[in-house]
Amino acid sequence: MNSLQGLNLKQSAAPLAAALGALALLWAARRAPLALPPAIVVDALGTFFAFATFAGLALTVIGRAAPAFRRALLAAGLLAIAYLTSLTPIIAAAYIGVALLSLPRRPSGAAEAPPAAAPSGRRALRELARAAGRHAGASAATLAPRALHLLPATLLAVGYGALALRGGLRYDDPAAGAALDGFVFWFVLLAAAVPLLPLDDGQRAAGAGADPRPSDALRDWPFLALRIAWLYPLARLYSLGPWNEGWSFAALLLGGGAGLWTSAAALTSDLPGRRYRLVALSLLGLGLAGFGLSTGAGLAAGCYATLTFVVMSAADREAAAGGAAQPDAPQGTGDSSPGEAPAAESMLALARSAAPWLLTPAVPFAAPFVACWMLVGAGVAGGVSLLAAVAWLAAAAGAGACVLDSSWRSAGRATLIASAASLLLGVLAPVVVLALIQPAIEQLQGGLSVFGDVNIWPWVGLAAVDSARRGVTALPSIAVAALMLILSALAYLALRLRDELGAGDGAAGGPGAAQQETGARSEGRARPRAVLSLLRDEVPWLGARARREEAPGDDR
Amino acid sequence: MTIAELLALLGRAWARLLLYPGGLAAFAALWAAGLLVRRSAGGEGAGERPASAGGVARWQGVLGLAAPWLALALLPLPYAAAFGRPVDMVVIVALLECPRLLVAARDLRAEELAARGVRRLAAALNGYPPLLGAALVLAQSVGSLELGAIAAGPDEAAPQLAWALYLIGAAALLLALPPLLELGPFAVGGPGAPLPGGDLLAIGLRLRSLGFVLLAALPLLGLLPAASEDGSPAIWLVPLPPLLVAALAWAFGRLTAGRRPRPWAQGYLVLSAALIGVLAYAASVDLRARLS
Repeated sequence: MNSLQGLNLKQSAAPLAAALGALALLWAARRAPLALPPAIVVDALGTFFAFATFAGLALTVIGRAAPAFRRALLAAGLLAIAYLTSLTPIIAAAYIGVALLSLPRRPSGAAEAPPAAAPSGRRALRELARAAGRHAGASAATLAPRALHLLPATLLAVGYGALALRGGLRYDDPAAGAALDGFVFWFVLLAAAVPLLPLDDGQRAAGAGADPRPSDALRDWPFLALRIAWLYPLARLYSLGPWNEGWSFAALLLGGGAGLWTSAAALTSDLPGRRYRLVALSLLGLGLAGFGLSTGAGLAAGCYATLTFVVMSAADREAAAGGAAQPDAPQGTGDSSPGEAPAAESMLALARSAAPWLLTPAVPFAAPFVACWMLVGAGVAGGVSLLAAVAWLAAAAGAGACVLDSSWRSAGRATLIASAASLLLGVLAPVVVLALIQPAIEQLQGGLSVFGDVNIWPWVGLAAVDSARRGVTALPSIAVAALMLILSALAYLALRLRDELGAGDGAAGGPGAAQQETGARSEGRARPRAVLSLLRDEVPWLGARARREEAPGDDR
Repeated sequence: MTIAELLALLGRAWARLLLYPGGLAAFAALWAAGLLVRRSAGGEGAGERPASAGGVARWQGVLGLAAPWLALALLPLPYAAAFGRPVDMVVIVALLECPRLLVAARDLRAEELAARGVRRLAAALNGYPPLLGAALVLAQSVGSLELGAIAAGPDEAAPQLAWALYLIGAAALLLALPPLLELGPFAVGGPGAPLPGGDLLAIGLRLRSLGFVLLAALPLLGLLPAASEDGSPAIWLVPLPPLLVAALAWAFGRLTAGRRPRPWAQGYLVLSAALIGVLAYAASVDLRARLS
């Protein structure tokens, strides 16, 4: 298990300790918010977000050292202050600090070009004008993403500032609910929605036609996990009172739209690694929609989606790097490495091959699938079947996108860890919901409606129930995983038996399997644009028919 | 629910896993279907010689077989042993789709099979919108996505709209089968290339097809007259709806073989849009009832 040696414990120790502290606080505050001095609030929602933030940061850096770790840790510290105070101006100020800390640095390839030798006369003026235009364009291109990064903090400052000015200086003040109006809500909602957009500075170069630069994509990656924090100010509004239908509808529209759009964009993207990030972002969009449902089931779906995003963002770095997993990945696929512990190497190769699948909505007990499933249940229970359709379609598109993604073949250490976390989060979903999310639902009950709740069977699974407590969806995740294990063992036995019986017919692995193995090694070369063009040809809802380029191995 | 209850639940599931609906019954059905397909004009699987599993491909075969097997075992078919906890359609569809996604991913990674992989993925993407539209219309009619509730159908006292939705959903589920089963215009075709994971993944794909046929037959099973106290129909009637669905799917495949997929895909898009319209209408009726 070479890949599990040399974990980045140095950087991950601090966020890990903070996550454990948040977990302890969550346990202490699971029945009621802790009684503390004024302006300090330790309740289930705040501690849940604190746990998710620090756990995400720890998970992100435990696989490999992070370049911007100190900035990210400082930002997480500011977020912890925001989570544990009831003073709305302090919350807004903390988020402004986070936005400033997470400002993207200039891309490495954006260095100023040396000025060319200026010719004389009118031609020189023309050249000067062109150069000025180029410079302005470059400045705008550099400034635009920075402004976009500051936009949510600005919107939040306006929203929470208005809340404070209208009497909601402390959200736990009994009279603060009167300060919540449409103006406040819209700004807070937009502040939550903007970070759902794929603001990937590292991918812009690739979008412009150049090769993606892994260094650009990875520079600010620790901040990816912190994007969940923007959902907190919105969810916190439930502490002030129930939302009206228009607000819920707007949150559903924005979150569901963003989720569907990003998952469809993941399917049609041809940039390596980008698909994976878009799938993760689509889950965050669905999480926003879950928060917008104003029901216990919706809140559970939203919180679970944030946890899933945190897990997926831990592996995002390798996907964004387009194969950054190779340095610590053995090159064999199970049949190599004669000598030291071939069985262990074979197991590791299997784990590396299977791990990326656990970070997709394609596998029924992995966290991304469970996140989408929870929103489907919450949607049907809340009478918003269209949201359920969006969540289900987003899961299907996300699964398809991950099938198409050729950017990561063999998982690296970070992906292995994230996959294990995803499997645990998915299979143990009832325990996770019971321990981490249910207390928040109970404490925010005053702001929620009765149209949908979560029914937890601790040792079996989860179910969504409607207002009459009738089952709407049911996922006995632990039972299904156990049965799957039994059937997998049976299938494996059958495979071994077949291999034993068929040993005389030819070598195990045969020509077909050998072809598949070499195919697996020579992948990436499947010409993603041509594949995408062919896919668009046959699937009308993916958009306009693209000009058909070379079709890979078209045998029609 | 305690761990003892979980163990009891798992223990009681053996008949479902090994005899019926999964296990013996499913494999016997596959064997019979294989005989029929081979006799009729060569069949799709006639030239297919799956390869042995090697190295990393082994887990794909195992997962690709176990997932649809489990999905079949969890289906609430009449006369199946009680499972103790319900399962919904989202989970069953995800389990059934595992082998197809695994095969599509492997095909895409091999240069010479990439077009086949794309066609398989395209069939899946064309099939999902009508499938989930149909499932949600069914859920709107019975108030649940749980398969037991969908198989049972609306209450007798349910309004006419619920029954209309149920019939629309059942018909749409039937119509969604061709892209799901890769039939007719959505046939993947191509030479019988060896599958990764060997025989297991090939069997998994066939179990998956059987699972979707049974899923589409569930509402029809619910419409059969009850013959026992628990509402199960007469035992000789049980195979008829799945056989009818399979025959319809097979006939569609034969009649539309070789057609271009895009016009059909556009038709399915229209069907999906219509289902969304039905859903929106039903939701608005629900909302009015809730507000009044």
